[in-house]
Amino acid sequence: MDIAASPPSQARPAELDTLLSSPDQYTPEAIAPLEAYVAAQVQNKQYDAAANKALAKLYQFTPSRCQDAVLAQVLAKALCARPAGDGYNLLYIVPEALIERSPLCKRLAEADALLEASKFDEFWKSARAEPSFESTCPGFEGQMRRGLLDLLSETFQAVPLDLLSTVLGCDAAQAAALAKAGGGPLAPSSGASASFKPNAQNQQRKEVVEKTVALTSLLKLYDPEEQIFEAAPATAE
Amino acid sequence: MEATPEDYLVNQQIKDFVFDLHDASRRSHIAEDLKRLYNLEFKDLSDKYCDKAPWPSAPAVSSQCIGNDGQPDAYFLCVYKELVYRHMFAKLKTSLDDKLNAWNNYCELFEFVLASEDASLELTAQWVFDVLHEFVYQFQSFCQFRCQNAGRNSEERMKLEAAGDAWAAPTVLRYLARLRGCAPTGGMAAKAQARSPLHFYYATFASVCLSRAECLLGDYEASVQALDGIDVFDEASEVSRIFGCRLNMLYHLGYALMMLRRYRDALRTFDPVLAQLARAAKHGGFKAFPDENQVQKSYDRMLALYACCLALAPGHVVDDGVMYGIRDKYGDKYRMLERNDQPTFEAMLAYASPKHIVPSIPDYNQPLNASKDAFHQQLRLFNGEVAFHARVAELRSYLKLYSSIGIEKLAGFHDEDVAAFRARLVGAKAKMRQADYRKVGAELSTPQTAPDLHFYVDGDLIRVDEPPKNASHDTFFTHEMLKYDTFVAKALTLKPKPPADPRAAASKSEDRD
Repeated sequence: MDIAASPPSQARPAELDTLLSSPDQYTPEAIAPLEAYVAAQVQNKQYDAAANKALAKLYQFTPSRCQDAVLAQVLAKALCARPAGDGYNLLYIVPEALIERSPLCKRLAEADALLEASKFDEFWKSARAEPSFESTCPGFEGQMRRGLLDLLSETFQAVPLDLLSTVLGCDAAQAAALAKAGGGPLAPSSGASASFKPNAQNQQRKEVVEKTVALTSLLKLYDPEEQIFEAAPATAE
Repeated sequence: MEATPEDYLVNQQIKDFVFDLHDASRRSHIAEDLKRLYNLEFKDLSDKYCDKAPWPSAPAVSSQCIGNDGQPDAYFLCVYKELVYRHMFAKLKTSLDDKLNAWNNYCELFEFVLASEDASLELTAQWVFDVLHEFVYQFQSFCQFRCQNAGRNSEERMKLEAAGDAWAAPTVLRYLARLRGCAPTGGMAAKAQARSPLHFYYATFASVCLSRAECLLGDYEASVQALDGIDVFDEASEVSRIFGCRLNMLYHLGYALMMLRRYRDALRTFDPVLAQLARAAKHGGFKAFPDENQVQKSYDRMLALYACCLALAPGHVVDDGVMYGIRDKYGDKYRMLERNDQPTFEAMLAYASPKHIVPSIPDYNQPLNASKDAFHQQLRLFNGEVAFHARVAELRSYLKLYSSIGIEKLAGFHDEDVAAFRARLVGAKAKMRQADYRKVGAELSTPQTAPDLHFYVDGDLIRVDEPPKNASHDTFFTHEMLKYDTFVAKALTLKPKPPADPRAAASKSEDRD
C-alpha cells in the first residue's frame, strides 16, 4: 500500500514566477503555460496551489477555454492538500456549469464534501470508480492516505485496526501490516490497534504558568528622576 | 483661443467651475481649494443646473482647460469626463452606449495615470477613491447587465458583440493590479517615496478596490492578499480617514475571511468598526457620518455577518455595544443561529452577501439569465459548511461538560454506533480548530491554532483538556502601581494648610483674661 512520505514539494520555474506576480496573470495568454505546469506537477508529484488557482480563475473568465481533464487534475491535487482549504477555494471560483458538465469533476467536488462529513467508505468507493482519481493524478492515493494518517494522529493515541482500514481505504491485512511496521506518524505496534507517536495534539497539554514578566511593562513604572534610594545624609560637622 | 460653437451653450458658472478645477489640480495644487470645489461646488452646481440632464460634454468645456502647450489638457478632460459619467450613472438613466463610452474613458484615464511622464496633476484622496470605487461598481453592474440575456433585442445584442472586450474581467483586474503597483503602499514613508501623492492614492485605493473586485469574483484568498501592505486597523492611515472607504474595505475583508472559514479573523476585523457604529446607533443614528443611508445598510449587513461568524466560532469576546446591536436587530434570528438552524443561516447570508458577478462574456444568442448564478453558487457552498459545523457543534456542546467520557457513552448520546462515531471524531478536531492569524493579511507565517476545546482519544476514553489558564498577574500589579504613583504625585503637589498656631491661640485667650 502506498503512502507518501512527505507533502509534495513545489518547484516553480522562474518564468511562471514572474508571470504570477505580474498583472499579466489575468490575460488569456497565460492559460497555456499554466496548463503545461499542471501537467508537470502531476508528472513530478509536485503541487503549486497559487498557480492552479490562477488557472481556475482564467477558466472562470473564459469558460470556453476550460479543459475538463486539466480541471480534474487541479481539483484532485487540491483534494490531496487537505486540510488546507484549497479544495473549496477552487470550488468558489470555478463556475458550477463547468464542474457539472464533467462527471469526473463532479465526483471530485463531491469527494470534498464526503471527506468533510467523514464518510470514508463512500469517499474511497467514489475515488476508485472509473475513471479513478489515481489515474487522473498518479500518487493521489498515497498523498491522500498521508493526509488522513496525520489527521488521525491528531486526535487518537491509538486507533483500532478496523477504523484504520476504513479511513485509509485498505483491507484488514494491509492495515495490520502497516500498524506493525509503523512509519510516518505511526509507531510500530502489534495487537489489535495501531498506535501513534505522541505529538503535541494527542497528549495532555502541560499547563503553562507564566513565570516571566515582560520588561516593557515594568518600564512604565520606572521614573529616572525619582530618587529611590536616599542619598547618604551629609555627615554632621 | 477660439471659442468652439458648443462654448456658447455652456453656463458661465459651470465654465468658471471647470476653469477653477483645472487650475487647482494642475497648477496651484492648493488642497483646500480642490476639496471645496470637489466636495461642495460640484454638488451645488449639479443640483442647480444638471438635475435632469448631464453635465456639458468635454469638447464644450475644453476651452476652459488649456494646458501648458496651448492645447486642451487631455488628461484633465478624462478626469472631467469621469465626473460627468459618475453623475450620469447616479442620477440619470444610462444607455448601453453610455456604459461603453464610460469604459473607454476609464481606459484612457488609467493609461494617463500609469504613464510615467505626467506627474503634475493632483486630486484629493476622496476623489481618487471615488473614481476607483465607481470603476468597480460599474464593472459589477455591467457584468450583471451583460448576463441578463433573456429578452434582449437584436440591436443591443449586435452592439454588445461588437464591443468585444469592453468591461472584460481580465482587463479590469489588470488595470487594478497595474495601478496598485504604480507606487508603494503603506504609511507616510511610502507616500514620500511615490512619484507623486496622486500615484500613492491610486496605489492605495487600487488595493482596496482590487480586494473588493476579487471578493465579488469569489477569489477570497486574493481578496485578502490584495490588502497586503495596508494596515487595515490603523485609524490614521489614508484609507481609514475616508469613512466610506474604511467601511467598504472592512466589509469585504470580513466577508472574505468568513468564506475562507477564518471566523476568528473575521470577527476581529469587524470588531473596531462595529463597536464604533453601534455606539453611534445607540446615540441617535448615523447623521454624523457622510452618506447616512449607505452607512445604515453597511452596518446592518456587517452585523448580520458578525452574528453568523459568532454562531460558528463561539468563544470570542464581544463588545457590549455590538452584542446589544445584534440582539436589538436580530434577536430571534441570532437564537436560531446559535442552534445551527440552516434556513436562518441561508437567509442571513443571502441578505448580507455582496452581489457576486459572473465575469465571463456570455453567448449573446442564448436567451439565458445567468446573472444570479455566481451568487447562488457561493451561498450553496457556504451552506454546506454550515451543515458540517452543525455536526461538530453538537459534539462540542457535550465535550464541554466532561473532563473524560467513554466513546460508547458519547456515541449513545448521538444515537450512533461506536464505529461510525469514531470515524466522525476523525475530522471533528480539525473542524473545531480555528487558526488565529495574528496579522490579517497574506503573511500566514505562524498561525496560532486556538481551539477553545482540546481533546484527544486515549484507548476508549475521550479526554478533554481545559484550555491553559494564562494567569498574568503582572498587568494587574503594574496597573495598580501606576495608579498609586499618580496618586502620590498628586498628593505631593498639594500644599498643606499650616496648622493653627497653638501659641497664637493661647496668647489670644491670655489677652482676654
